[in-house]
Amino acid sequence: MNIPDNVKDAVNQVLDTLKADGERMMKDELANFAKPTAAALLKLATEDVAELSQLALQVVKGELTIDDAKEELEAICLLGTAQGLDQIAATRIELLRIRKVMTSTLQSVFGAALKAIIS
Amino acid sequence: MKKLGTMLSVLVAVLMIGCAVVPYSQSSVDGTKAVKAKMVEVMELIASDPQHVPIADINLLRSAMDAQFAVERGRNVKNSNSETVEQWRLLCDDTRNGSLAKFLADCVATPIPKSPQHVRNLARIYGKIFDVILQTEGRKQLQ
Repeated sequence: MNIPDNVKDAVNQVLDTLKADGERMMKDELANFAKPTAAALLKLATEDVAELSQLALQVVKGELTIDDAKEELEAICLLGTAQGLDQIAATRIELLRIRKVMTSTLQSVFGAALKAIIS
Repeated sequence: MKKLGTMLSVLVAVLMIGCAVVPYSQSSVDGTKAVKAKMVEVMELIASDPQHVPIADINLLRSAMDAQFAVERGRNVKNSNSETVEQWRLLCDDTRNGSLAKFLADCVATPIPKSPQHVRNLARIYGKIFDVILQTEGRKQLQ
């Protein structure tokens, strides 16, 4: 599919913002955790950002509707919960708590990105 | 001192029983892999022919999901399998937004053609949830 240059630029800008906001939020949150927990969280959050960036791009390309993207976002949140449950008991509670914060922040960033794309 | 030692031993024993994890189960792994394979197959059917809802295949998948969910609940003696049960609940709860069960129910109830890209994206995400369930089961071998 051919995407006009101005749309490509807008998409790249949105994706950069998404990535930068995600990374900044991760750094702020991860500073409070022990290294192994922080490493596990970083891996999960990096995957989240990658998933959300991909979603935003597919919406722009017209491969997904906003409703489709929302449904996928909800499924990604469930994946996050499943991953939190997989952690060992000692870190599970804090992982689940922090991941909730991360997911909610990422959702806000994603929502803002989508608005920017469709406006 | 001896009494204190005995009390501590009892306390440790109680804590260990309280934290007991159900033993690893190869049949649980096999069952989960079979349901995952069926999910991939059904999602591809939905994606490849958006005009046709494969109701019979969806029903088979739902039965397989519910059966495996029941198996995991059956293993959950004294909450020893609670993580796996909760992970299955994420897939099988048809009232939960984003769950596989809700997506399948929507496909049957509102036969509006789905975007193939959307269905394949969801299949990939649900596949990851199945992988996490398998990872959790694998961890039980180490405990």
